[in-house]
Amino acid sequence: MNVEMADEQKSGTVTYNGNTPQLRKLAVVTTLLTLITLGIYRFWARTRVRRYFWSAVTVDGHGFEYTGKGIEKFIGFLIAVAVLAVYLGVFQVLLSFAGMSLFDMGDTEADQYRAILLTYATFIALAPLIFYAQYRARRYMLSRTKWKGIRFGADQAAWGYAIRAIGHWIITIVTLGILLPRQTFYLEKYKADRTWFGKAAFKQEGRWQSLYPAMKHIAIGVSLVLVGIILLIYSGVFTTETADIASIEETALDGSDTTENMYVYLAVAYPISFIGAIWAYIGLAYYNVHSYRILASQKRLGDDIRFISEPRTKRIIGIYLLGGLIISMLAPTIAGLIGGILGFISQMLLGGFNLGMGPEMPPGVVIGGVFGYVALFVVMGVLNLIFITQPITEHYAQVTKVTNADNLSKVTQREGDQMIEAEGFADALDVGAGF
Amino acid sequence: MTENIEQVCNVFYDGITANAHEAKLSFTQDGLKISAASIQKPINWAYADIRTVSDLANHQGASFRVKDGLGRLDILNVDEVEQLQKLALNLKRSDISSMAWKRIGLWGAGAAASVVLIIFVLIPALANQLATMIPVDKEIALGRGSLKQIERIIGFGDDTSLICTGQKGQRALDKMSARFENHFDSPYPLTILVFDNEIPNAFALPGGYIVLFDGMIQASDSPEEVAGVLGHEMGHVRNRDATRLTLRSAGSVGILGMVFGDFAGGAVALIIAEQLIAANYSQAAEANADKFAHKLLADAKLPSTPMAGFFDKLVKEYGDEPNLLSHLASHPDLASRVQTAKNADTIGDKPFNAILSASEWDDLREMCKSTDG
Repeated sequence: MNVEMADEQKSGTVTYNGNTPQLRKLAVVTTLLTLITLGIYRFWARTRVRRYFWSAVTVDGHGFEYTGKGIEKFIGFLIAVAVLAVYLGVFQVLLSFAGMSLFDMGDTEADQYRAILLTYATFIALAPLIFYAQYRARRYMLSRTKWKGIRFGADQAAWGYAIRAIGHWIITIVTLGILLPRQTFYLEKYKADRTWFGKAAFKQEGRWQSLYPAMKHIAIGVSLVLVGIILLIYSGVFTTETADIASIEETALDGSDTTENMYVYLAVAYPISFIGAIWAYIGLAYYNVHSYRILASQKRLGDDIRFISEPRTKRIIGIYLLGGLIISMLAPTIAGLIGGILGFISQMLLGGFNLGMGPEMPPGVVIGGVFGYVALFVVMGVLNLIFITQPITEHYAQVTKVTNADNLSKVTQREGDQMIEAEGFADALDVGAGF
Repeated sequence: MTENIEQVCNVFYDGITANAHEAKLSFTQDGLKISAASIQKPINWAYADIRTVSDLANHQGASFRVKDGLGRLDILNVDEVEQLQKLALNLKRSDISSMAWKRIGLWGAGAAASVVLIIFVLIPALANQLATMIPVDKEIALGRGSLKQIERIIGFGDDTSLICTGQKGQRALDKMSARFENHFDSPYPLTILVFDNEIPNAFALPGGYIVLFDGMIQASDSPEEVAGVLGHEMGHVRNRDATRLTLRSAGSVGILGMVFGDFAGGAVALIIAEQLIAANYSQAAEANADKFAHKLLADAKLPSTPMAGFFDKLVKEYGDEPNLLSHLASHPDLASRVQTAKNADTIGDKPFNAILSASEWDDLREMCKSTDG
């Protein structure tokens, strides 16, 4: 692109310039290296993939630059292991002890309760750490992101964020989700107000109440479910003993009124609740997309640089559905082929060798099975980048625009941010970014 | 819109201001000289300090940066890229500072120490302590659940039960455990089962479950050999080894998951590492169970030489080729176990009261062939 031309028309246009063959090659190579090194290469793999995606997104023709290094992430990981291993190990033992002491293991119903309890217990015990790690991971990523040679950055405020995040979550849960917009707004504001591009500060403006319109589909879905529940209560299905239902079914043949009413209520109540639940679920996606839209439109950088970013819920759900479908069809096929071929070759080579696993397990089956299993995860990771991460990034780039982008050129460089532990804590807790 | 714009010149980002300079390059003796109308003084990059920026999306030409600097140069002219590649010889160097190496050494040692401490000291101590605190009925339920899982794994997902139901054989088994009963204070009632599988193996599960494989019974020459193995498994039950192992592996899997990441490569490494740790754990547990079995046999006035004989057979059959599914055979120092069992014998050549009659022994050996009464 011609620099002079770009200087003339700083329109604030955002584009995505990735191409699938290049991404495919990068993803396959980095994943194989990760596999060969038993996972150690993953820090360098993720760094390379980020460098690709960052550079694919451009504003006014200038790509973003990711300057993070694999070695930084590796050191960060070592620090996280040294610090967190004891905590996580003891925590896991206590958790499984609690699970064993409270529930009959192996019983399906008890297994469900156990899973729910363990999810909450894990969340409560790790919540402060998780929020802390997420903020630090964000700070690391910003500090390693440049545009036109200028660094982004975030203030050191991870514990402040963790405390606020826990507080907001408690308020949201206690109010049954009614104050979710307040949580979304204030947590975003906390992060945005501490974010920098060079020496220019970001600012989240607006009010939390302005996010309520984004809640509308959740509200509709929940209302439908409530109507369904009210109908169910009204039908008497909860107050009727199971033993009585059989007798009601018998009398239903007589065509008595109460029974007919009950069946009518049930016929209406269940579909309504079902539709309501799906509506609320999609409504959550709608909320995420539209609250993001509103918050983006109320952000300011420096004096007057603003943003318009209007992703569409339908498109995003579409990408996930289509991508999920493609991955679920392609991944087992490719993994099966890899496992089958390797299994066949090893059977040819090691046919007479007994692995000591019984006559049902010749070496070809064992080796083919292991490689097929590993290949499944490898292939899924690669396809995920191509069919989900790439289209989502592309969609967000296409719907985003910077206004008053001229003034971006006036921004000057900020100090670097060392952060030797990089995003190790987020990696260790597995709450890091998707790629 | 942008697609139509052809990039025609080199772009230089100075890393101080947010300007994209239209850069002219000259290859001098001291290094690459970058000049632009919008830069007052040309910038000089020593060739040795120039590095490539790789993995960029859909990029024309090539991108370069300077070591320890903030500048970035996108060269579009292929000739100029080639010329630079000839002069700059360290383009691909990764520049790991001595500081970084020091940190890797320091934190690597810290991380390793931390993992070793937690996996080999803290988690075992905690698991041993907690294993005795689990309510007995929950432990029995845990054993029942694991039994079903193991049946599914050994049966390759087949839902038909592997448990042999020959009633005469079961009576023979009951007689065998009754002989030990007075000398054995189990925390829970014993449930002894036989699996219809040809591998010579046996194991104990939480909550007093003991499983003998038909392959083990068939490989034995006398009921006293089976009794020796049964005594060994009773030792595991007494010491709650299975429960301790379950708690321990919960902790170590959590740690190893963090070390290897959630990648496929990690999943495999994780399984291998977990197996190694579990094998290490069981070393001491096996020795204790053996000791327990020897005492049990002596108390029940039975010889332990047959137990030694059984291990001896395993050595001869599997000595150089450890069987992956058989923890009896996979034990590394099988030969020394044979010796300890022999030394522990209190009967010698003296006559003893056989644990099963000849016909009961036949019933046990036929247990997986019949379901009759």
